[in-house]
Amino acid sequence: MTVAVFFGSTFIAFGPAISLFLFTIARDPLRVIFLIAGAFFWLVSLLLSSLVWFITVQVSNKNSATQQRGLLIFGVVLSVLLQETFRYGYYRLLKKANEGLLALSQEDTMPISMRQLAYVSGLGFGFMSGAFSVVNILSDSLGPGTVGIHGDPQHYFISSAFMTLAIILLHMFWGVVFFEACERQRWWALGAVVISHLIVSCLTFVNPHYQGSLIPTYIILSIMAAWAYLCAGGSLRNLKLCLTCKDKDFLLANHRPR
Amino acid sequence: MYRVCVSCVSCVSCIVCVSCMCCVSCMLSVIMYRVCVMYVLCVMYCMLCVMYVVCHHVSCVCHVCVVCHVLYVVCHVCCLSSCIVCFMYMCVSCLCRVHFVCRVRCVCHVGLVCVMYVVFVVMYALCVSCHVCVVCRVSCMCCVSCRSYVCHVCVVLCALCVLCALCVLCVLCVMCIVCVMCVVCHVCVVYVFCVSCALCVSCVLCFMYVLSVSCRSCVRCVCRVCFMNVLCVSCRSCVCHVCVVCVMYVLCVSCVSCSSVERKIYVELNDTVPCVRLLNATHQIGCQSSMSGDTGVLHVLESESDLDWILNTGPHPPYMVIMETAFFSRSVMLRMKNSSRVAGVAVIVSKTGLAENFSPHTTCPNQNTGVYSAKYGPELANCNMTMWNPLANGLSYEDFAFPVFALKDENQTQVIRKCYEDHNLRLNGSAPQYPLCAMQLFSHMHAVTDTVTCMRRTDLQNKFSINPEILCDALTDFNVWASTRPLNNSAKGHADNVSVVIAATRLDGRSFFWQEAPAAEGTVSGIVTLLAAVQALYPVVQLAPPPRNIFFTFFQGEAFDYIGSSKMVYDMERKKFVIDLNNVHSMLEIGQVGLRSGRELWMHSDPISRMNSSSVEEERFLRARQIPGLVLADHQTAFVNRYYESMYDDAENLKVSYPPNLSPEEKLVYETEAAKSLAEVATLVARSLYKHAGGDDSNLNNITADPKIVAQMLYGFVIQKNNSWFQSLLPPYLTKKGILSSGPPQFYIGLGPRTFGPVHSVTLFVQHIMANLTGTVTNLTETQCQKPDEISTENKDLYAYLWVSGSTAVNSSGPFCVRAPVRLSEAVSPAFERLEYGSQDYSTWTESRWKSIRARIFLVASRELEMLTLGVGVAVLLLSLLVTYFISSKAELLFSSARETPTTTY
Repeated sequence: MTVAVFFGSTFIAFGPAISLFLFTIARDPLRVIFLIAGAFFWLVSLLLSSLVWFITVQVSNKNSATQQRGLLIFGVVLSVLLQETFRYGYYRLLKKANEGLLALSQEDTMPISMRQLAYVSGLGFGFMSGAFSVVNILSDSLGPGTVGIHGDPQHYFISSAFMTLAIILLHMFWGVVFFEACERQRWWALGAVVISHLIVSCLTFVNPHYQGSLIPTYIILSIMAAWAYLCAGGSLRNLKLCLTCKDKDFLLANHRPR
Repeated sequence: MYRVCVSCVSCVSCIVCVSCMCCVSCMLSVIMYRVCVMYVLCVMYCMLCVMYVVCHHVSCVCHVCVVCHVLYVVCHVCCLSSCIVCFMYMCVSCLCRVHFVCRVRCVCHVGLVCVMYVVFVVMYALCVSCHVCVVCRVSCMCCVSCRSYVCHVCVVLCALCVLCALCVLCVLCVMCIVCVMCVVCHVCVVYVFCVSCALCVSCVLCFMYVLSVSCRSCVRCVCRVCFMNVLCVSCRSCVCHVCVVCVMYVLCVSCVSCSSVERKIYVELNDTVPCVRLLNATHQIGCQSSMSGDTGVLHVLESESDLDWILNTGPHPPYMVIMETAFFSRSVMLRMKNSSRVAGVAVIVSKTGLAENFSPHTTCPNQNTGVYSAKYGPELANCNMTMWNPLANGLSYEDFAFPVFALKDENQTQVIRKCYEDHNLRLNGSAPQYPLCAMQLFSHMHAVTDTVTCMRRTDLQNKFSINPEILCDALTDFNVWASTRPLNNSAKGHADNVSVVIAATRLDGRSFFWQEAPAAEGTVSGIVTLLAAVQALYPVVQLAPPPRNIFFTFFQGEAFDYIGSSKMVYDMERKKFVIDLNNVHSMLEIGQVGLRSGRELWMHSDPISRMNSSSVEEERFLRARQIPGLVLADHQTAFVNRYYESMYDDAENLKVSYPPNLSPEEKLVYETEAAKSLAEVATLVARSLYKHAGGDDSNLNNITADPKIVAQMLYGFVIQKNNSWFQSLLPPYLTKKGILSSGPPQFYIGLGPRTFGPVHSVTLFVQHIMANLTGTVTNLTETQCQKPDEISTENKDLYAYLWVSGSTAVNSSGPFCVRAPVRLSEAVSPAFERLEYGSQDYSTWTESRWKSIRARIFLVASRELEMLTLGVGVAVLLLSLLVTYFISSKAELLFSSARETPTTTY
């Protein structure tokens, strides 16, 4: 019956990502390409950091626990920095590609806006990192056993799924904030993204005290969500209008001048 | 062609690379089309196959696989070594070969694939920046991927399927095959198959997507790779598809294969011994687990109330029963066999609490193929007169539908006990709370029903499959024989003017568990006695040869309906042996002689040819001809041996014990009481053989067995085979291959891991000890030793030449060549030679093959927690679908500031 755990964890980890994909990306071929390319860039960053990791582990003293722990922290920091570097590289590439797109398209408008690109590539990063962080856990959740024979807490699968969910969404929001920051050349915002990414990654060192890592992560997630919303052109007024279902009036009011 | 396919160029050297194979197969797209059709058939068949498996009749799978194999052959002819085909093939037959897919070591390909992907992305970027290709209006030679976004979607969607195909989730596997087919079908433009798989959501989506989007941009064009005029866009971009699949594939494989989560969940138990399945013409015996292992909640059987808990009242069936040897009895095992609440049994092997007697053999060993059948003398059939082994419980001859393992390692037993005490202990009679400690045993056996069925299936596979799988092996090995006057090995049939006295004993034993047969009293006592008799007799025979020849023989496989002796008699009858039955003057057999009470020894003879007899291989000769014969044993009617054919028939049972604080070298030559006693018997045997062969009474006093040699042999056979004496006897190449591992040799004839050649290690030991006792040292070199017929003074027909290590002492001369009249002759049951697998006259025992034998313990979670996880998952999914739908429908409004601020540049 551990198939239940498998599907439960999968739905938790990838449910939001899949629904976002279905409703916002799947209909537009161009977005799919950018999503996959984003995922690929994340993959390359992982490849590089795993190379460095592989070398350092070979060099290090395998019996010293403190050294291994230090190495782990070093690996996490390096991986985060590399991911953000690749995000920047991807941004530069998209900028270039965008010019090409503009030149190619027969209409004057862009086929895809920079904000959409930011969101799509962020989700691509999230997809890939989520897949990497949870796939091997999922494959083991099929059972028949569950975690705990060495005294680990039982909620390992469900908490990893929730952590993955947070990471995927965070990548999406980071993407939006990051691209916006690059676009407007607000370097402090870039720094904030990198630092929050570092914090979230390092929070996992608190495990197996899962509440210690999950709660701060979700706090950061909500902050980043709000920020990303603002960056993407949202405002509190829009949200209010939207929630109180006054959008029709608003649309009318907005459309009249045209 | 390589020009087009970049990935091919970069990985020409690597054979395994998936993308390379696929590119090649793309060029053969027409052929691939045929392959797809084949696979539809295959998939349909697999549906049937799944239905069969659901019916729980395991043996049906193999029928299906045979058909699948046939289809595979066709496919194989169509498209040689196309990797996708192989991959799918594995899935198709994965019901039989579960873990094959995941074993493909692609982890180190990660880098390669990524580099390839970088190349593509760079090309893509170039492509975009040089304004060439986005929506495929302009042809761009260097750009492969940009025109094919549609299929990227499909690939991504299908990647999930690829993923689960790799997970080797057998139940879902058929679905996976269908999904994987989508990927293939894109390449070969057959979308139809996608529709047919209603089960596979992603494929339906994929299909819809293809309909809605791709066909708009899909133009009739020439495929780049296969140079065909085809309708589909995706054909032009197969390289990238492949790469994406590769990345996903590598992703899964690397994740699945190097998982540290597994270490958090499972504790593997390494030092376990399974009970395996053996088959004869009519029955199967032994144990087996289901294909994916049997899992049950651990329960330690310590009292009668535990048994009741397991079989009736316990709330968490099925149970995995852990028991001490004291409970491992027929009544308990049969009650478990008849209960559906037992998933398996693990027996802790220890000497503590061992019952007074334990013999899993039958009360009347080999009753159906011996001489005392109803035909020979009805009053003697089925041991009516004498119950040879009255203590036996017959467990070895039961068929258990669950796995039974023996746990040998003390530390692992402690781990299991601790897990049990931490989680499963009943408090005040109430049921324990989840999580519970559970155990999984894997010992799935390929063969079922009986030898006839199994051999038929193996033959079928041999005929139709290009990589046939053998389901069971006949129990075979070699007899060892020697004679005091060398016999010409090249002349078969009746030897003129030769009359021989046969001295025989058996070479093998068995027990309930596989490869766990010390057989100290049952077999070693006989072997050692006969070898010591040879040593006593040989010098005297050389000086004063008796008129008759003395023929020493060691029969292999006697525990399984007299394989060795029946083969020798069969050969004698058909003039394929150096002597025939007319040459046999008489016969003496050494039975179990290690446990004499006082100095008593019993002689058994056939009641009809001489009127009292025994249960041993002399019967085989008796069955063929009335030959005067005697069997020497330490018992009158019932065996003295209380642990006959069990794993406790060890050194302790034979009363071989040493004073404490002896080094291994001192132990090797220490003359124990058992050694002295056996030497006495050996002297008796040697003298009576000499007399029987017509030797002169005056020489009898010169014939005495050396207790020191007996002590050395006993030490080697029941305590430690890795000793300096054995090392000096064996050829250097055998010792290098590790034939002398630690511990006593195992006497089970079965086909364990014989890394050192086709001959069982015990047979080799006996052969080389015989060579040492009867041979002469020659001064031949190693190459001459291998080809002695090139030297005029040597005769290959009369002697065997063996290259042995020699003493390891410092001043020894190193390896040398020994010339001895010692031969090996095949011990394979005539039933297999005559292809009569249902034979009633000859042994038909076969051993099933298996994939893996392992055991592990872990915790299982409560159903509530699992359901909670699933519920939360479904809730999150539904909620996120709702919210996303809401947000995307109101996106205009929510993110509307962009419209209001015209200053934005994007």
